[in-house]
Amino acid sequence: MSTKNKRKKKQREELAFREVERERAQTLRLRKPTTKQRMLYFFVGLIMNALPTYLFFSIYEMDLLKSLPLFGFVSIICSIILSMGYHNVSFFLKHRLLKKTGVNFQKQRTKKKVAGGEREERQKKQLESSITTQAVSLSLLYNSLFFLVIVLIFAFYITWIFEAHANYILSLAVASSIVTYISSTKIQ
Amino acid sequence: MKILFVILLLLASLVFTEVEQGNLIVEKDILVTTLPHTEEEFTILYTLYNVGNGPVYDVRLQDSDNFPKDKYSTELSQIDTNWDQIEAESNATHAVILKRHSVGSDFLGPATVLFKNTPNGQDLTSTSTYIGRLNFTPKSPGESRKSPNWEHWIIFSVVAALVLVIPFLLFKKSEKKKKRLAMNLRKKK
Repeated sequence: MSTKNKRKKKQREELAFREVERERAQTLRLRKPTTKQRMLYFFVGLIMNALPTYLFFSIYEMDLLKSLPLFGFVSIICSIILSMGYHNVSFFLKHRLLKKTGVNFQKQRTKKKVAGGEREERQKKQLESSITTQAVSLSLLYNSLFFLVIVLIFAFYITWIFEAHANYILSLAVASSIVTYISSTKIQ
Repeated sequence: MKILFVILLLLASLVFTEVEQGNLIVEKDILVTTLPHTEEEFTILYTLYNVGNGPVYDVRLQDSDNFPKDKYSTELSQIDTNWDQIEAESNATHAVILKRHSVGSDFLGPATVLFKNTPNGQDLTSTSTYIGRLNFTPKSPGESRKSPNWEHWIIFSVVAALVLVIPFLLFKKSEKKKKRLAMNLRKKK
């Protein structure tokens, strides 16, 4: 093979390698949630933890005022764990939905201005944002339902033999951990 | 004859004069829907009915013997109490909230009520109805879990459904928008 061809081949390989690296860096960047997303996931996690807390102080007759520090501490920890699960699933769903649309979301790196290019870019951004909303809402729905089912199974069928406080801690901690662990296996 | 007639009249007036006298009937009742367990509060209600035609004075209710302090503790009120006066054809009530601390069986007998028909008169006694034998067992951890608790489950289900419906509606709304935008972009290609 001539040196010219070898040089061209090397350049093509380098370009492809750089594209892969760029995509990987973008993926890693998108993998981290934004501050808004973190706050949303945490808030929804707190609400999801408050629902079984109501059942514990009404059915298991835990004293609300005396157990308030325990409720608060466990809810905050489990909300943090649950928020990681929410982001994992929304990240996975977003990439899947972006591929399904069949639209190229990468910015064109040309110096020439294409007619109607700005409008197209704006529409792509809108599409990406609606896909993000869809992924986040589906993640919240799926993970919340999954979390509630596991909490109820643990609280009333598996860990009910323990004292009410231990039952509360175990059922919420185990449920949030299972949800987050299963969500992390999806993105691997 | 006249003297005999006057004596007979006096005797008759004594016989037919009404003497105002009070008379107490006491009811002792336990206000529970299910049998109480240890460390669970229950209420005893005493109702004193004055069925006589005169007031009763210095009424003293005594029932501490049925609830010894080593087994029972009172919440908010004492078992023994007193009233200065209960008018005729009226009643008085006294409620006590108690808790038993140990497992066991007790016969809750009648309470004793002492009263007087006149402010400085002799003490008269009345006994109340009794509750009978009660077995106090500890509450098992699964007991509240097994009972229906319908109202709590309904509240939980309604709130959970509301919380889950919001992301579902958001998902449906964004799906429509996504389809429209994706179709527009594909047409331009």
